[in-house]
Formats: sequence, structure tokens, C-alpha cells
Amino acid sequence: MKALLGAFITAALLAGCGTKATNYPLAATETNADRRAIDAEADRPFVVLSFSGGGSRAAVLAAAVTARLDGITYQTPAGPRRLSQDIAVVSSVSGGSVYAADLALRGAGAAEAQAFEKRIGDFDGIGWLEGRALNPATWVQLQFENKTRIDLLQEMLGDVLQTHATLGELNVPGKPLFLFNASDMVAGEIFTFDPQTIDDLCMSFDRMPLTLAATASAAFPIAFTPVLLRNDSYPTCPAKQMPAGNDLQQLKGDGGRYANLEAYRHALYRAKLRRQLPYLDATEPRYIRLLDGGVIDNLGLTSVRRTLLQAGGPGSISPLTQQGKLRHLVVISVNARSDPPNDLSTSNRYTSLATMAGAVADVLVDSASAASAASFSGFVTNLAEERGQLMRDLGSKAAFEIYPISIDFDQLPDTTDTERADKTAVKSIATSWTLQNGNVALLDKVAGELLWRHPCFRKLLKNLGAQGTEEAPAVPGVVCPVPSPATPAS
Amino acid sequence: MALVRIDFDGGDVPVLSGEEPDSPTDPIADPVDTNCVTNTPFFFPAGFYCFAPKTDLAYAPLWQTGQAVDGQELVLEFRRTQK
Repeated sequence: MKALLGAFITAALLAGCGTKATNYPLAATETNADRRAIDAEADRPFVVLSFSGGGSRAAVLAAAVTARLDGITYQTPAGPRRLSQDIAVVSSVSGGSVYAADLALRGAGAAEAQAFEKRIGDFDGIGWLEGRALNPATWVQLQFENKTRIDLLQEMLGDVLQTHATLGELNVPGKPLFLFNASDMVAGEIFTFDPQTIDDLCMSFDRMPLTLAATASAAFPIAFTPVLLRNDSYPTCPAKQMPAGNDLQQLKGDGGRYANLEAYRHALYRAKLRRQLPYLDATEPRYIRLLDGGVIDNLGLTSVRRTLLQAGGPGSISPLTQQGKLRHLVVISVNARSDPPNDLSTSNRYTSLATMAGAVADVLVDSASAASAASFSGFVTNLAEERGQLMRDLGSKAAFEIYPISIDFDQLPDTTDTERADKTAVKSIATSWTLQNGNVALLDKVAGELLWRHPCFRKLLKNLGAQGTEEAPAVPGVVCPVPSPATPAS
Repeated sequence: MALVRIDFDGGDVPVLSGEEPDSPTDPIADPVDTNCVTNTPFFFPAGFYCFAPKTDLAYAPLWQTGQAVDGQELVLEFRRTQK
């Protein structure tokens, strides 16, 4: 109760009066351009990472898995290569976005990932926020400088990441595609910080701070106010915006909503952002409120699906399959979902409002994530089937392996007392910006175990002839559940 | 997910995807380059689309629409009008 009262007082102190919308408006002479390009080749796997939410716990787990990829090497005609060099797409949510931002800035080397683990492990984020909440200077800022609680989160992430970088620094060929995912709290749609979506708002992608994308992705509802963006899009946008591509076609007539309802809704959302629908009053300012991406998809897999098939997008696998450049599609979904001890099932005490709110939030996030995981699983099944049809036309050129690798604490073994203790301990790490002593070491250890135990990861290493330090034995009698193509990929 | 194949007797050229224009004599509207080429199938999400080849050659029709259906192949054919 005391904690709840404290939280309430803190929130009240930090409430602020005004809400200033963030805007990086496109000038008349300015245009957004998608300069991202993946350097894919047939002799290299195409590696996609998705990092879930879960505060510092999720950030450390994501970094620990990435560090493992840097320790895997294989031979190519051009010489030895590390699996971390093949990271093509990084999709992230909330806490996972904090590490994704660090990866974007400093690369996927094991030393960089381990340095991040130490930095976030030592960082007392909750203490940082409490310190700012009790500082009278903060109250003045909130009351008179149009700042809100979300500005504090952005400042805190700036401290953690030690950067003033912009998204423009990621908008270059040769870097992985970074998909920072937030939730549009009004439209109920996933808002991904990519050049097309930012262009939809008539904003400059290149000038937008990286920390803004990470902050929107991590703006946990109620604890933080949403990130507020101004939308000055079409027809009032003074700049030439990027082409809408085939999105508007989905909205023509009634066919689109039956051909693919999800694509229709996404196209409708983009058209609303661009204010291209006749019933929207394009003369009024519009605002977008963004919350934690975990509210809609805590795994970040929806934007992965869209990116892999986006017409003309830099992450599309369609041209790669035409050119015979896709041989190994690896999707590693790092899910840091926790399961902290809960005494409600052994107690008949009164269920408070705060307890219910917390439980409902958890259930909603878990249910949205389960739906996203199911859709992704369907996508993989569909991809494997279509691969067969493509191979009938293109032969072995279109043969590629698919390796869906889930990293999830539920996959940890629990046969021995030690295993049970480790599993309980790691699943009990609270969702917070402050970790306890020993948490980083435990998360790092289970990341290696989970990766090495996974049958699809084992299959990938075998197919690549890759080497690395084994951290756990294979699970006997289990195979990667996605079949290989009829003609083996070489 | 579906397969799409855009047949074109003018060779392997880029495939554009965009919005169906108001008139059959207008070119495809607001197009993006799919980064895929004609005469070879490629993956595409299910949905309604408008496609055209990207070429300086004269061809007909200027664009075509079609529904991509999960598990099926959508084939659209374009022909050169001057050889």
C-alpha cells in the first residue's frame, strides 16, 4: 500500500500541465529516402532477431543472445565469418529496444554486448527516476517547460545509451534494418519507426533521435505518458512524400478487406496517418500517441513478417529468392517473459484495484504476444509450403532452409533441483529498470543454454559447418520442426 | 502468402506495384519497385494488387490488377506492342 501511495504521489508530482508534441517537420526542400540495404549472399545466412519487452531483463537477455552469435564462426569462400555479421533485421519492443539501440550504435560484437550487459546491470534506473521525481528542478521543468514524464524516460535512456545519435545514422546500406516498435494507443496499431512510417507523418526520419524511438517503444502505460507526435501529413506537408506503393490499392472497392484483412487494416492505418482518406479533415492538426510496443505485440514478430514481405522494402526476401541469394533464413525470437511468484492462488485476501490492473495488463500483453507468435508460426508454415511451389518453377535455386529459434525461459529444463532453482530464479526477475545482484550473470548463462539446446540452432550450425563453444547439450530425440526443402540447400 | 509471376515478352525487367489509376490509359499510380523481376515467380502477401513492368518499351496493358491468394500463384501477362 505504501509503495502504491508513493507511486501515486510520484506520478502526481510528475504530471505536468502542458503536452508539447514532438515534431521534426519535413521542409519543402527535404525528402525522406530509404537508404537501408542488406548485403545478402547465398553463402551467408539471413539472420533476423526479435527482442521482446521486459525492462532491463529483456535488454540483458537480448544482448546475451547476440554475444553468443558473435562466438559462432563458419567458413565462406571469402574466409571465416561470424554469425553476428549476418544479422539483417532487428525488431524490438520496450526493454528489447534499449539493447537494439545499443546494437545499432556499437555493433553486434561480443565485447560490445557484454559491455552493455554490465552497463545496464550496474544502472539503477528506478533510482534514477525516483531521484528526478524528488528533485524540485524537475517539478519546475514539468510545470513550466511543457515536459512530461516520458521526457524523463528519454533522458534516462540517453544516459544508458550515452548517445545523441539520430535514426539517420542507421539509414545507410550495410547496417541491419532496425525496427523499433511502439503501439499507437488510439488506432491500436503497431507503429514501427521506419522511413516510410515517419514519412507518413511528414517528419524527417534522418533527424529523429534514436532515443525517441527507443523511448516510444518502452513507454510503459500509466507509469509514463505517451510519446506525442504531431502529424502534418498530406496534403499540408510541404515536402514530396514517399510513394504509398500498393497500400492504397488495398482500400479500393471492397475486395481488399476480404483478400487480406490484416493488410487492409494496415493500409487503412497508413492512409489515415497520411490523411489520404476523403472523410478526414486535413486542415486540422493531428497527433499520434505512442505507448510501449508490448501492448500490441510484445515479441516484435508482426513487423518482422511485414518486413520480410514488404514490396520493395530493403528487408524483403522476395528478390533474394528470385536471385538464389537466400539459403538459410534464421529467425531468433528472444522472449524475456517472466513469471514472478504470485500468492493470489493461495490467499483469499481482497483483490485490490492495483493488483487487478497489473494482472489485466500482464494478461493482455501475454495474449497479444501469443497471437503474434501464432501468426508468425503460420507464416513459417506458409513460407515452407510456398517454397515447395517456388522450387517447382526455379529448381534448387529457390531451396532455402528456415530456422525459427525461440528463446523462452519455459524451455529451460527442470529435472534437477539446480535446474528448477535456476528456472524459478530467472522467471522471477521483475520487469524493472533496475536489476538485482546476480541477475545479469544468470540471464547470460541461460541465454547460452537456451540457444544451444534449440534443435533449429543445432541444425543451422550443422548445415553451415559452424564452430562455437557448446554451452548445453542437445535435447535428445527432438528435431527442428520445419522440414528441409526437398532439394537440400547448399 | 502467395506467389506472383508477371510475364512479359520484353525480357526480365523490374516489376512495379502501386495503385490502379482512374483510366486504363494512365500509368500505374504511386508505384514502388518491388525489386523483383518479370518472368520469375516471387513471394507476395495475400491481397489485391496493381502491377506493371518497368520498361521503356511500348507494352499493353499499361497495368493489371489481381488478387494474390495464399497458397496459389497469380499470373499476369503483359505483351510488347511494337517488335
